[in-house]
Amino acid sequence: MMTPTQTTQMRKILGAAVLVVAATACRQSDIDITNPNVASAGTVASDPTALQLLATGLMVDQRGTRSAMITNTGIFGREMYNYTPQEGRNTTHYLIGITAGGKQVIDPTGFAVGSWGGEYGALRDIYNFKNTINASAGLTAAQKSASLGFAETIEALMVFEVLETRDTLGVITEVKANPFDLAPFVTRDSGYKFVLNVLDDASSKLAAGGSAFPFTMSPGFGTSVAGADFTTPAGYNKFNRALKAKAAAHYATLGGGAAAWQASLSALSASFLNDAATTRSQFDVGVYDTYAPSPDSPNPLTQATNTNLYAHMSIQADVQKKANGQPDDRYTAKIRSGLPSRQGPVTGDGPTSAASTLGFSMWPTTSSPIPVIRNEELILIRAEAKLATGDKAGAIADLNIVRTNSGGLPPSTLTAASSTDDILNGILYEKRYSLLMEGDRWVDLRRYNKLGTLPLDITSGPNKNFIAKVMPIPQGECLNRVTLGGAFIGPNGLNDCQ
Amino acid sequence: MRRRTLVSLALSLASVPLAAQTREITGKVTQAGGAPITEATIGIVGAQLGVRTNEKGEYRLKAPSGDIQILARAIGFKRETKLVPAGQSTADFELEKDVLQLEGVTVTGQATTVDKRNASVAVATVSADELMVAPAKSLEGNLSGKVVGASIFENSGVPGGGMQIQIRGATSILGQGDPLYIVDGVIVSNASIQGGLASVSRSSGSTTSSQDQTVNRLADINPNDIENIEVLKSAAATAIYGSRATNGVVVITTKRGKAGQTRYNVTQRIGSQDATRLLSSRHFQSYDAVKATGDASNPHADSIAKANCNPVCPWYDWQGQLYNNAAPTFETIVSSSGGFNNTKFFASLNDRQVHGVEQNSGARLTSGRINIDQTIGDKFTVSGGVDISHNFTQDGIGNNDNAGISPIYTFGYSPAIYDLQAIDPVTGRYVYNWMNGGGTGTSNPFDVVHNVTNNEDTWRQIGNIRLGYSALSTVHNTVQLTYIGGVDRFQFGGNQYSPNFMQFEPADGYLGTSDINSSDNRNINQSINGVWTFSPNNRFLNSAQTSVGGTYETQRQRTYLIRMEGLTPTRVSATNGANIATNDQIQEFRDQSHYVNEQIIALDEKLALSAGVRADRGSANGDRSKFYAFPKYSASYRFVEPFGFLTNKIDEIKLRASYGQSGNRPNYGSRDITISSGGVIGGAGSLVASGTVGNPTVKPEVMNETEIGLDGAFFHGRVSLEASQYNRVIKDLLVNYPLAPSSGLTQQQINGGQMSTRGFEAGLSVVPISSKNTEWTIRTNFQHNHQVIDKLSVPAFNFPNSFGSSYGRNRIVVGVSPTLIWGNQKYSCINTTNASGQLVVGTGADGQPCHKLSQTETVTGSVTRDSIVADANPYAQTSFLNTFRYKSITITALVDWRVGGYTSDMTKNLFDEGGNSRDYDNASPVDGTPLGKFRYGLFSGGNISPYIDNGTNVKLREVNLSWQAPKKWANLARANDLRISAQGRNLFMKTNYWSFDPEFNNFGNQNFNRFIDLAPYPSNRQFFFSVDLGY
Repeated sequence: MMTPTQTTQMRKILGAAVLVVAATACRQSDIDITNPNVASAGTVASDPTALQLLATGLMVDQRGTRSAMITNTGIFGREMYNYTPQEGRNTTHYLIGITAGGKQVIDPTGFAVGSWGGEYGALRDIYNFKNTINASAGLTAAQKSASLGFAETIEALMVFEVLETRDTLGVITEVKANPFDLAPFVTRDSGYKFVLNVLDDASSKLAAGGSAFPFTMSPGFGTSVAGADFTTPAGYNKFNRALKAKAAAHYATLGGGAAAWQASLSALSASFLNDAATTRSQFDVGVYDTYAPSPDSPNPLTQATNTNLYAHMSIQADVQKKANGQPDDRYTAKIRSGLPSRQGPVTGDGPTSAASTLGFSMWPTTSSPIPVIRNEELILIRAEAKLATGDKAGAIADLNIVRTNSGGLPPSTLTAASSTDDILNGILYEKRYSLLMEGDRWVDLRRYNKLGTLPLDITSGPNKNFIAKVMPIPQGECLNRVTLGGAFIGPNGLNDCQ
Repeated sequence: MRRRTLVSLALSLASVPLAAQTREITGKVTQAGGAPITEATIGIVGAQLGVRTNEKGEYRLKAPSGDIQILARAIGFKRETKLVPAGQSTADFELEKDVLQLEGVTVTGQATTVDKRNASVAVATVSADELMVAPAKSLEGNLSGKVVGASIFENSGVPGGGMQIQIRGATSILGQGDPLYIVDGVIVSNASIQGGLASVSRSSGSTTSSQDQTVNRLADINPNDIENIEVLKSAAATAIYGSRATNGVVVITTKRGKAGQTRYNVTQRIGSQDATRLLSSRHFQSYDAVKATGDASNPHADSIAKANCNPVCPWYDWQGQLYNNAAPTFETIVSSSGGFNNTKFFASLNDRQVHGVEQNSGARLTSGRINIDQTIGDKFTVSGGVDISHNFTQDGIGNNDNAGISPIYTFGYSPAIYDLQAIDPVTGRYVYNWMNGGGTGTSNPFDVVHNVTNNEDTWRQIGNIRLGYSALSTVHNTVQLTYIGGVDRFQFGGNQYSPNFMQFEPADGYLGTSDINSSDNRNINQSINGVWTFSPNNRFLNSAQTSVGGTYETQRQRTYLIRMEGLTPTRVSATNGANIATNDQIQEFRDQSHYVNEQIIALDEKLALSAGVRADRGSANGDRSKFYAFPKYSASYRFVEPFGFLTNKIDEIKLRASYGQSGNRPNYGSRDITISSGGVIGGAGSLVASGTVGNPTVKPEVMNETEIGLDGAFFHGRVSLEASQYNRVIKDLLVNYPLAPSSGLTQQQINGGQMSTRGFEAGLSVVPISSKNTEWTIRTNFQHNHQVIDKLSVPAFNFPNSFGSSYGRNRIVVGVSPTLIWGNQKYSCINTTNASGQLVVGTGADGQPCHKLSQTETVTGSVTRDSIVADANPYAQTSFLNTFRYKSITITALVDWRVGGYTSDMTKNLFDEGGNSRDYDNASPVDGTPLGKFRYGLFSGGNISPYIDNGTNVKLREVNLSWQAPKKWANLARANDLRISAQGRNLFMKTNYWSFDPEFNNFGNQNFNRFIDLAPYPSNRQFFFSVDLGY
């Protein structure tokens, strides 16, 4: 038995313990703090201003993928070099690659694996955007339709970009709600069908989209930059049709055949194609990605800040002359010469690329816009389509619209009697100089099986250059698929995981 | 903490009515020579009660009748027990000095301590005397070489701070890597806030970077105020600090007032500094040699080379001229302490102005502290302290650089063949650096250090309060309730200014850069603790102490910056410029815990047992309502004179064993599912999916540690040994799971790895001589550890913050140590694996199996592979602290010896690439190829080995020679004491290392990749002359 004193002591001890425990209990709500730096995904869905921000996000996504696409395809298509002095891999990983299975390929762990994550990041944002639109109670049916048409057009453009860089490797066309749940690869053929279907679906939604989007479009769609108004559902639909015409023309050369050429031609007629164009500004009508100094994004390619972008010397060597002996106006407008000579890294085995003294001048400032698709390209796509559908004269006429007005060159010597291949080469010359650094040359030559015509800077030895046919699937993608779902097999049955 | 025990002891006995107090015992406690010991504690063995001696060393103790044992103890002295027979009423004590610090107490909880001899885990203690052998730029410097088990690194020679402590190796990959620092109960921030040098140097990005020569904020603590520091290492010791404790806990106790007359101490120091070693540079023998480097590509440079080299080029000691700042440093310390009635106080003021060896760099720390202890009646005590400091550092310019401003970087690429200190008669400024291309990609370092500002300015206030209430105090039971509150608040400002006329400024199209980076920090911690001590006073159970309590901690940091370029002449403020960058980030943590702890001393105070658990929940965890429990168990047994039948030379051997868990909470925001800003287009903001997906199940990393140890005292206290072997398994390591890019997302931080560390550490102290006039103590610390990654649920990855495989970095790979340096090396060919996954050894063009090529070997078809080069972790670290006193002269020296530990010497790489290394023209293994060209040729051909260098070194870290002047000298200054000292830090280093110091790291404080030497602010040594006056 405790004595009364002991009992008192025990009470004091227990009392103290209870007091301490009670005093240190704190409320759960004290710990539930929110992260003030970033928006919570949950609150965005219910925020009325989020629609504009998410729509702008898609336009930012489109801009981000575009410049990467242009530089990647620009190096592969021997239009440009990225001569960063501290980083020779910007040259060697594109021009030399690694040897695997006895042939030269691009290193899937290296530098030339871009134009992938950005496009799928955009698909993720489009996925979220569509969910927001579909769940929105404040939008009219027309506004919803317009918004979905807008998003789907970008969705198709993103998948199209992946197809252009991966070609035979195939493409993934969707993202799933759960990021650990991966959509399968589909073949190039299925990929193009997907792109064309989505563009058509988007077009019909835009047609039912009323007179205005429920959000403001970025300046690259407005008249002051674009030269025409693409900011309304109807105007934007012309951009959609232009993309359709291009994608269908690509598909036509990759198995789509005559039907795809017809689809391209009919899409062109619904696009903003203007074959009466004679001036630079008329050729330049089209959709652009705009840039500006911080807090906007500065143009990453501009000569004002990027001193590492050099042009391939073959652009100078191959240019045609005007009647007065001066080079093609497009060359004069886009190329700067006489830069300090630079070349890729020189290893123990000699140079890894040719030296160049040429640069670009089409993006003079950090605010210079970069085109997505322009009237000039549409006229040349029509030339391709006419040629493929047997209208050689029409093809030559379209070619000459661009050649004489944009290039200032005398009309082509090609006639309807010329061979199809000669006319095609004529069109490809015009595309090369009209669409310099717009992401087309490498892709066009591959479509027409002419990659072999591209020049190699170093033709022998350990630093021998090669022309890559496709950009590889990044290793991170492969590893994940191996981890999550057994061995990685691409759509063509090849294991492209190195 | 010692003070804590003494305070609570004093409290509990102040006026307790003892059952049978029939007599009073009085006496005096003195040390050898008769000087009184104040604040000694006198108590009756077996009871918790005691009294303290007054300023004359006298005490008065109420005691029961009969024979009793009285125990006297005081900080810094060995305890002594005396039998006082029934009839005796006086007992005087003369206590021996505790040279080896066998006495004292160590911290075991928020409000509890245990006698050191009953401690069942290894805790390192550093006293004020040991700490202040020689002044250091930051507290870590004072601790270097004195804490067994801790690796302490200096990031560069920048004055004012920038150091890192790692205890028993890194415990995390992506999580927090800093120990928890507690000053008088306040959890203080040791944040490394990036100053913003990258806004000018472009070392990484264009605002701030970890390469900014950042000063971590422990530098704001004035080491002169510190009474002692305890470093808790094992998980069993740190478990009571829960989910912030895997990296160890550093418990700092500042000085307190003592009873008696107010005493004043004044210290005045004056000193200077010089560069420990500079790298020199190549002496060019001809114009052609200069031309061959490519540095004379600029026409100006070419004409300088032609004019100056006839035929031998002159050589200018640019480094010697730039790093020659020997301006005097001053430090003034004034402190006073005293006590009257129920109040005791300690107050100090400190002002330290130092200079760096780089012209125009330096640091000034000004601080003041007041500590007050107040007793109110019998039951209440209030203690509080306030520390206010202002720390201003001019960090100078150094480290990695992509703009052409870092001096060592520039020197590496510029032949030193003309006078860079010359003034251009046209501009009136320093001449251009025409070498290294001569354009806007480089600069004249003299111009840079005189015109480019890189400052950090911190105002800090730290306050603590401790309220004690003695709820119960009887012979056998005491209950003490304690509230501890702490606030640490500081405002940091990083400021860079590069005027528009600098040579490198047009490089990005804008002239001039101004950057201001401000950070508001507020850390508050509170705890409530109840401690019940039951002392039945029998030999089977001496005492049982039960403590319960809880804590609540918040930390908030808001950092915002404005960077602007395109400045008009002379305008410094970041306004009306172009190319504006702004940023604003908030980080906030809130954590709450409960704990219970039991501590038992039994079997004549020979057996000590401890068990406890702390449960934490916090805002960083995915599940904020879940408590994560961190248990601990430990035991020790003292064998007193264990082999007494054989020898009396073994005083005591203690065996101890412990197991514990401690945690490391997730990173801020890794739980949050967010949507990010996507940037601006056409003036409109946007939202896009966050690449990093929040993880709602993320939880703390958990360290499991077992430690066994042996502590012994020999030869009657003349030798002591402390040895520990530990094994740590850190589970649930935070790693980034790389999502498939086609998911449209990037990564998610998960708990997906495990790492183990095994280590051994020992401290041996010997007192070879101890007599009235002569005393010599030697303390040797040794440590070794090895780490390995056991498991990873993500692919192997490179530790973030490095320069890639060409320059070497740590990789996180299962089965090997994370401290290994991976980099490019040449192999004759590559082995492959066959379909069934077996290794197929290939054959190279030389007909040999695939093998790593030596530096002189060439095989056709050889390939470069990212492979293991060396280990960055030293094999062993040993330090020797010697103190020798003869009469009034004392000399102390600390020598550090590091064996192994490789460094990526990218500074040497810069000098070789620029053709400017001092040994460039030496013979190499290849005839006709100079050494510098040979090394760089290997490197550019894909072989890093010439630049991964052994960091073995011996350093004379600290020296102190002091003289206690005779009393009459002191009296001339109207003082009681006068001590005159000469001190030195980092005086000497013996090493084969090529660059400045293998401790240095371009990336500052981080868990791994701590070995990258890239154009740092040079190493330097400091000298001081001090006069201490005591009143």
